[in-house]
Amino acid sequence: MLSSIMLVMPTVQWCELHTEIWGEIISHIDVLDVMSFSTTCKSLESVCKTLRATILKLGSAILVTCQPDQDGLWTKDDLKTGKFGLHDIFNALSFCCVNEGLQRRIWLGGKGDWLVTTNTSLDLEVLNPITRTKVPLPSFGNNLSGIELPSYREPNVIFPPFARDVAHVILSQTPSHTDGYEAITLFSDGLLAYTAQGENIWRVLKNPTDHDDNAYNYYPKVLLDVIVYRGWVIAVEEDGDIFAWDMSGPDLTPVHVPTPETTPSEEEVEHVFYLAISPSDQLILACLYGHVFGHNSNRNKMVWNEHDRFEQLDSISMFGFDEANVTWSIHPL
Amino acid sequence: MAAADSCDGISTSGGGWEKTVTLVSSDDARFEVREAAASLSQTVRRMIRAGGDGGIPLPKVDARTLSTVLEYCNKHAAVPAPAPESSSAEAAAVDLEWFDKELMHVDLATLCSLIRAADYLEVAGLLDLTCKTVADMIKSKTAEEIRQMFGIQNDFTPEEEEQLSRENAGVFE
Repeated sequence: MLSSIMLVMPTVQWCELHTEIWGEIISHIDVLDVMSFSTTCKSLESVCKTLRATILKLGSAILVTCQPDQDGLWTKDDLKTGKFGLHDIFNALSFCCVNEGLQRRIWLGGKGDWLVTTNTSLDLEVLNPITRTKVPLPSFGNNLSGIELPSYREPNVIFPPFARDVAHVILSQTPSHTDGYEAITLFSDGLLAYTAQGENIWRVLKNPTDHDDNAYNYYPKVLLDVIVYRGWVIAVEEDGDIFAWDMSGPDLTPVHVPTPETTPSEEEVEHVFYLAISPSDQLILACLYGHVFGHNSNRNKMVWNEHDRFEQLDSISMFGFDEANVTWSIHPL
Repeated sequence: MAAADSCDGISTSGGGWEKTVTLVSSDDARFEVREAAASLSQTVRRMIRAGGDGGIPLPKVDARTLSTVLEYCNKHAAVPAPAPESSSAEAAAVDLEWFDKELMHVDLATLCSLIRAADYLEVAGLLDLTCKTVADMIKSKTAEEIRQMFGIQNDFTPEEEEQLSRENAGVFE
């Protein structure tokens, strides 16, 4: 006879459902939900393997877009539901995913498996679509004003008295990093603002061509890409000039970094620049040459980048930075 | 004719005569149901054709679950096929959708039983409905949340779990 009464929740043998039934169930969930599902227990992991359910793995090259189709056209419904596209480049597979954390939010950048997202009030968050972890970033309202989302993203949002578009947020360190996140906001007028875990504010990095016009600072040099490299924020502007800010220094005044000899280009050829860090920890500058024919409709995209503007890409040059000699040399593609 | 042999009775419905069959659950409860409704189950349909006396035994479905399955079958078999794109077709679709939604307001144990029953009885619409309901419950949940919801025990070793976490965390790298 039992000496005590045990209250036991009814055991539901979900794991014992036929594999075909689980197949029917997971046919209704997206690839990220399948990832969570397959890691609940060994038997469900085995079910997914038997069904050959697609599970994205380490090493996959995944592109995130606002929609599963390559046009990536902005739709209000997608914005409401948090729908986005995942594209497995190596295996040429595309998936439509939905994440509650992206409902009524767009993303302005990302790194690894984290996306920087915002709503129309510019409440920035860093979101991991897999673990669904959300980490808020400091509000711009604390020390910056007159900022708006680009008009092509939310036509009805206006932040008086003047406007400054958020072009991109570079996440140089994700919340998974031992020191926490580190982010830089790149504004369309060249303003840079930096924040890191624990700072609680955005620090404005002095623009190399700061110009004051009736109390409104604007910067004739527009920065195209920014990266954090060995404690320095490095930015390249549209003419190829490169500037660096020492984040450990007393003030955030930039220094000019030598510029590589880029290929002399024909007048009609445009170029844009990207910054990167090679696997051997070398700073890389990539220069892309191309043409614009004026037919580009990319401004309809929910995610739009200045770098997307070429309609025809002609060539790419890459340069590696030699810290010892403070020079650039051609880097093999 | 075999179908006639398995027909238990005749009832009136809406001024017309309808054949009925008797279904017997695993706990010996007997349900008299219109043949048109019962035939939404491919398993029952085959048994009707095969013929037999004393009702159709369904040893894998208990009375409580069978009652819900028949509620679904009665509702879905009762809906006439109106002309497509007509207002009545739209109203009928909305009504069915509402009915299905209400039917799925059950606890997890019942939902699991309904899935098993729909699978065994081969009621395609109900199987799809219950699977979608489970899928909706899984959506946007972490592995731990899914385990807690369905009472699934995590049998991965800490090392295996760390490996899975590493693989999943680096998926966008």
